[in-house]
Amino acid sequence: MKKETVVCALALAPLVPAMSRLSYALVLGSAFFILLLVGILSAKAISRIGLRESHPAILLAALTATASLFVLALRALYPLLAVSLSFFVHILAVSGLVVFSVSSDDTDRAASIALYAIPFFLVFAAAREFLSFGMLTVPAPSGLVAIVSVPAIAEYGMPFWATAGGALFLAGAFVWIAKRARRMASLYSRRA
Amino acid sequence: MNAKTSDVIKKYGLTLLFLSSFVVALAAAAFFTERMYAQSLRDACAPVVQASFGPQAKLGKLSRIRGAGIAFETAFEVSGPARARGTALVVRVTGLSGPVTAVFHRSATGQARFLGLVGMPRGLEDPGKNGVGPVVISAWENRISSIDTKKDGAQ
Repeated sequence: MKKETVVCALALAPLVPAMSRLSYALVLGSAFFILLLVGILSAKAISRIGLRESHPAILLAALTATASLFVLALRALYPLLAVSLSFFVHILAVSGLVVFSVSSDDTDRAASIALYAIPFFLVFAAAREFLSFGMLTVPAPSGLVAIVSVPAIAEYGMPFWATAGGALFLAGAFVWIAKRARRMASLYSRRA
Repeated sequence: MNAKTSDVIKKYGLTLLFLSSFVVALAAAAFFTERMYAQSLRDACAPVVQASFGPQAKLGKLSRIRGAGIAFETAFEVSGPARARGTALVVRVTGLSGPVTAVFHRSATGQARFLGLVGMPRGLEDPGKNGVGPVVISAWENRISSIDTKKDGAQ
């Protein structure tokens, strides 16, 4: 595995406990997307203006301010989710900073690797939530609202998948599926 | 002033402008969202408080228990029957299945009690189903009971 991929995975590891529901992944995924966007834009603005010496200070301020602004927007739109997730949004700012510091001369590369994490988070959280609680939730001002609900799984589901152990197990399964799919794809392309 | 000095002043000025614009944006956003946040949270937590203390229990203004720390930054004064008087604390509790929003009551004598989870979808209101077991709840109750309100010259 390349250095950037390992560092991005480690930077995002503290979010695993929060990725137990689709609604949480939607909020944290959009926060991470906005943070990466702000990081890339501020890096481009800094190099265009010629403030290369101030790059770390401005990037740090931009990411923490964006995370705080996101939390404030969350407080206005989804107040109950803001209580549960504001801590993790601030952790994301630190993750963003780590992602940008991996390769300071090639900011876009690190950010594009990190961008792959967002769809993964959504699928991962949806799988965990469905297997554990038998439902898929989205954020609402009143908290979480179920858009899909299977009462049988809700009653006899396996809450294990929502725990950190279940997350580890599921992440391993996802990596195996991805590797297997890549191997199959390369086999087919060689035969064709 | 030579060209080099003016270039340095320009760069530092721009850096300062960037940083101060973040501060202004944050202050403005905090000012405009605070009231909306308090009102929405009060409306969401009121049914949980009233389910425990009856419909006379009312949540007042957003307050802070000084010396309680950042984990307890969201608290409401509770008025109504004698047993309801105190503070309702809205707390992020991380159970086995991730974070959830919980409401605790702290009486005037400092006794803490778990009231329930808020914002959960129908059928998942039970804390046990969300990985928040009795051990986690009693740990939070102990933590809330032991808040030293006399610290920092408070209350």
